[in-house]
Amino acid sequence: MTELVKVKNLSKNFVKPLDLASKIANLAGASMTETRVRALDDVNLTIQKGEVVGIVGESGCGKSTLGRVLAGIHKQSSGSLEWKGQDVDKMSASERRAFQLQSQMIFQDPSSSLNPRHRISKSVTEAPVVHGLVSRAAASDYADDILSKVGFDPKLKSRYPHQFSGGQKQRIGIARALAVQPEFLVCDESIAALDVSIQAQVINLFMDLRTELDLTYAFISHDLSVVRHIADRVAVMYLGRIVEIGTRDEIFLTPQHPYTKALLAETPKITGGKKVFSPLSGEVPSPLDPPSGCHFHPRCSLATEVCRTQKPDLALNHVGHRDACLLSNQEKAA
Amino acid sequence: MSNHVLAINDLRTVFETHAGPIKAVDGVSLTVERGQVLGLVGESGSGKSVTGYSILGLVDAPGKVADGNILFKGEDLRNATPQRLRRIRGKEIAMIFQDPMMTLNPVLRIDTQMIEAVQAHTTSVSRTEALERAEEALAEVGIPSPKERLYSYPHELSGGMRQRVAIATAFINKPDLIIADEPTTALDVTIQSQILSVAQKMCETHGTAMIWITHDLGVVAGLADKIAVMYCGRLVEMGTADQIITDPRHPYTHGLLKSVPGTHKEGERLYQIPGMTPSILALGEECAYSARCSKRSAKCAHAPKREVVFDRYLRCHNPMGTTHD
Repeated sequence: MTELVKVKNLSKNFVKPLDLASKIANLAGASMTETRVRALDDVNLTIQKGEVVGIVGESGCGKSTLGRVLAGIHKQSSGSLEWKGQDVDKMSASERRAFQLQSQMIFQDPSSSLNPRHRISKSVTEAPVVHGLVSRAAASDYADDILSKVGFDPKLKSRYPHQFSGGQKQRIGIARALAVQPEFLVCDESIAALDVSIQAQVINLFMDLRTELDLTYAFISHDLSVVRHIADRVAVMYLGRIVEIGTRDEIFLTPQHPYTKALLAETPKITGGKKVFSPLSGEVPSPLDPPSGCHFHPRCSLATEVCRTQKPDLALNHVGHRDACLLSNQEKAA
Repeated sequence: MSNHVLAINDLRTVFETHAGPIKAVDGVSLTVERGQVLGLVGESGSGKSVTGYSILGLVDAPGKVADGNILFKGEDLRNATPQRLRRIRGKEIAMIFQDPMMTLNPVLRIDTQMIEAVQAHTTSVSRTEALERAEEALAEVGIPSPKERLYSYPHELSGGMRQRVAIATAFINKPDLIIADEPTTALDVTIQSQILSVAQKMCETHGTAMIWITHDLGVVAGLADKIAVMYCGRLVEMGTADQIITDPRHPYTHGLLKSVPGTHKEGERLYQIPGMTPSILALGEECAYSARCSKRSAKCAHAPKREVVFDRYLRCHNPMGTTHD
């Protein structure tokens, strides 16, 4: 196994600059500060070649931001991103371009990644032609080839996006990402908008492509049952931090962090019949003003005084994977 | 029979378009009893929401309820005058939408809106009394410090909080029936669980009947007493939650359940229903699912009329024999 992507102590802040009124107020002696969202807070993650890493969490936990950093779309505020052992920030312009081609992203809404005025064939072949992967003359055959790979009838390639259903458009979105022959795909809620029966088709497609093209995935989703199905390893995020990471079985069978446990308990399941819902109280706090110490402590039924003040680090637990909780095993089992 | 809060019989809702009539709801019959939760499940375009709208007479032109009866506590809502319908909506039947901003007015405070919901139906209630009721209702759905929240505007609340306000407003007049149209689809798992818990508790304490419209089989499996499955405007199967989830008989229900990740071994290929949902415009006499069905036979050229087999409602000539089919 070789390391494909690695992020080390990575943080990403989004800063809303002061508006004119606040600047003037500051000149007059007020102390207005910029609004700062810590979308990612000291995240460490290594993705091996060929594996599928599931990234789960609720809205605002930073999973999409992490995906965008991994795909080279956002630049991190601090920390480093390595691609095949090489620091992306220290890459030459051409190396960086190569990295960005190798690392592609598939979005939730396929319509927003397709130009409504371009025929499918153009959308799919534009990038490979620009980057010199295929000649303009061979582009048409290339489109046929890529489209059949994702189970899309190449005969329909001269149509426009609006002529297709959501599931078909998502296939086109996948074809477009695959057209530049990437090694690494970041799927950001790629199947969330699809109907159940279409979801199954796209999940199967992802799994087929993985074996066929030797792809590596970062699979971002809020749907735990989908992640459980497709991922080898799973990272659970809460408010900008990874709170637990381990193999699929470690996370789903022996979860250790109280948040992971709660999340698993609350995911609707087909099996098990009618149940009484016993939800976690409270809501995800605003990332603008995250709680001190462990971010989860205001909602955690086990929280102690130390959770309010000390930031937990990801540490090896007694079942052999890592989670970020300050409580001892006895306390957590309670 | 008298126990039914709602009994729909052979409901047909049609949208007239340039391309021809679209039968969005095509012969749906179902019943809901006091305190019962009916899960109405289907994929997009299956007509599940239009069924909900039809009950309340909320289908706008070019659509109209073309046929059938909607018996609410014995009264046919299709024959109800607009005035009568207006009194029923929000008082005896309430609706919860996917987006709570469809219920809430963005420029009015929560208290104004909740008081209005009370006084619109019972003019004898004083403002103070209505305000008290609103506060009670907010506390009941688990909103922390309801007194202060009453004076908030909708934009000051989070999505989960707004949905709670919408639910509190729906329950404030103690309706007999609530129609919930995908109320948790846009919410996070932990918030969804909170909303489900609130809805469940409210139905139990007030004996309210509820129709929960969703595409999420996991949600109805945990919430509903009874499940109805729709496909292309038609009801294909309806039975107890247990019957539908553990022993589906219609090939579509069967395929749908098999294509959900949770029921497989990890990494195994998911079952794919072959083909695509047909256009409702092009549908004729045949069973809507026949083009995708593995058990299709010559008989399927004419969709079966309602049939009750295996103690449930089922519209299929060749139902699945066992769960392992």
